[in-house]
Amino acid sequence: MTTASNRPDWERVNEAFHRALAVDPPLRAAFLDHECGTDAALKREVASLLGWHVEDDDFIEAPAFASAADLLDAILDEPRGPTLVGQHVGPYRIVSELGAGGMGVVYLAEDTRLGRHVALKALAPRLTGDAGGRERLRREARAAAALSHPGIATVYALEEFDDQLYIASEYVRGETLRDRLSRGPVPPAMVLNLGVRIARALVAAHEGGVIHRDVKPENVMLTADGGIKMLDFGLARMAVAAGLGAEDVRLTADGAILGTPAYMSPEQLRGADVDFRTDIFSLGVLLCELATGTHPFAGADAASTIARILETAPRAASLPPGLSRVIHICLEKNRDERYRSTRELAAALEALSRGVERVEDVRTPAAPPSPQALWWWQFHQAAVSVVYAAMLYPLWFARSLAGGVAGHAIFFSGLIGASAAATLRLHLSFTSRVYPDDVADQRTRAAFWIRLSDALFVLVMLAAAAASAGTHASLATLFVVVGVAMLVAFTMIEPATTRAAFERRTWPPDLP
Amino acid sequence: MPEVYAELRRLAARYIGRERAKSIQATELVHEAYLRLLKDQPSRVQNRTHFLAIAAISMRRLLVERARARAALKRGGDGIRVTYDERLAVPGATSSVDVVALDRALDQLTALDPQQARIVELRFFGGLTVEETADAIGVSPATVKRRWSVAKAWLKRELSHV
Repeated sequence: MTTASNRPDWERVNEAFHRALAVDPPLRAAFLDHECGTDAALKREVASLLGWHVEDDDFIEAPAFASAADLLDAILDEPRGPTLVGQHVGPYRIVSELGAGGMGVVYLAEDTRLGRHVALKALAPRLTGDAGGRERLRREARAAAALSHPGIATVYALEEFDDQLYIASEYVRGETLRDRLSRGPVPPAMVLNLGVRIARALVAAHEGGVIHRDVKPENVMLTADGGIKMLDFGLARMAVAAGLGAEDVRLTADGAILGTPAYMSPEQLRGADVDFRTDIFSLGVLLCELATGTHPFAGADAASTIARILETAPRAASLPPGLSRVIHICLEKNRDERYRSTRELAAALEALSRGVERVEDVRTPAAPPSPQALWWWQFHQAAVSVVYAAMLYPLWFARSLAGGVAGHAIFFSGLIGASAAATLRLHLSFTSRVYPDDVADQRTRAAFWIRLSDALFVLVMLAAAAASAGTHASLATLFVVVGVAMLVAFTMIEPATTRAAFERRTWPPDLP
Repeated sequence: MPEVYAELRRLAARYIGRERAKSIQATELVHEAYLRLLKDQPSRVQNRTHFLAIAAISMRRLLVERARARAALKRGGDGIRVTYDERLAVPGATSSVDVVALDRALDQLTALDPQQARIVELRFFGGLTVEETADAIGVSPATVKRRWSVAKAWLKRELSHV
């Protein structure tokens, strides 16, 4: 290569190259002498390039992807090294090979210290390349190992022997849900049963801060006693932590569904940050597939499956209505519209499996209220608060009319009732505007005190009416009218506006 | 975005058309590249040529990573250090190309002439035709052809040093 100081002008190289190319090869040297004059560097460079030029050769003419398939094969056929069966690795005696996947080879091994069987996963070298990757892997393994739940295959240890990393975890006997699916769809009652168990395992994981990220039939084992065990918790995350993108993991994961991100949530496919709701989506796909026997987004190829997950409504014909509703909520494209917690999903599935068909009953904060109904409710709260405040003025007169202790009692009871009720109502009104998610909770907490203040205030109205009846008939009438009006408002109007604003179920919609 | 998916499928069909036996892997590869593309440029795809141009970059990165991983595997797997001579047999071609070395050489070419390197990226990694490449970078097809032949000679020479 020429150095920067005598590097010829690249534009001139290009021009001279093409001009020389038009000249017959035997005459090119003479042509270049003439063309380049005293610029020896230019002449050398052009002559060199001409030497490498071959008319109509096929160098890089075929696009790279034509050969890319070979690269994929090469990754899949990665050298596995000699099998470890029959050997000892640290305290583990390798009994047999259970399988091989993108993360490495899994062996059945005996932990000779404790005399128990474990699944020992020898992590592929590419996962454990650099020190930083190893450290992140350890951190993730620690988080996964902290999970303890009967529905989760426990991670025992991350071991390192001879520069090779192993994950030792609970050995689970049984078949995977993929195996079960190969025999056809699962009856709805069993789908619910499995769904509840998987959801409970996910609740434990999510509340422990671990997202599975790869919920699919291959990762759920059916145990002999009818339970389930979820495998590879957080392994997808570990692979990411070790510097591999999720797509690299997927590409080499377990051969069969090579590169098919069929259980990924839309946000996962988009490469966005994921939270626990990605597992909720994946579980929705899994449950749908279990119940119907077909994948709700299956397309002719990976590209169309992706497109369907991102854009098309799931196909889930012939599902029982309750299960259908739960699955559709799980499969919402927008994760804000899915279950707000895994606990909520588990509760919905539990209710269904107990035979409660009305799923809405267990979805606590249900739908956002309709804006119009909410407006009336807020108007009602504000109007009542204004009436309370306004009535303090006539009450002040009633105080002197009644006189003495009775007068003070009437006025101050009214003041206390009015302040408490108005404050609480305005607080709820504010909450419903600013923190709509919290309003249900706040309403429950404030309900008793609002009722108490309301009752106190109505009593004060009637007492004030009695006190002023003899001398000021018109004032007494006002108290009676307001008292009765408020009684009507509290017993009839308020429950109606509240129901309209918070309990009218517009969600989930009736699904086909 | 919907047009992009349709485009993705057309792109896949095009890749598949070239090499039937490898069609499944090619589709997977396209979708890999597509996922990466979404990550790189979430929503700025303007038109078909722009899409293909971005896809070319994704494809380049993807292939180079793959080739690197493969070389690393060979090294880690059997303990023998393998230099980057993992030549890829291009079906139907007599020459083979070391993608990793080409990637490096292409970076050098970028320093020399960004447009020329871009032409190679679009044509080789993106699979664009001369006309599509011309459209993508806004020059005439004749210019693309001229720059392409010099770039090829230059790259061939650089790769011979490896």
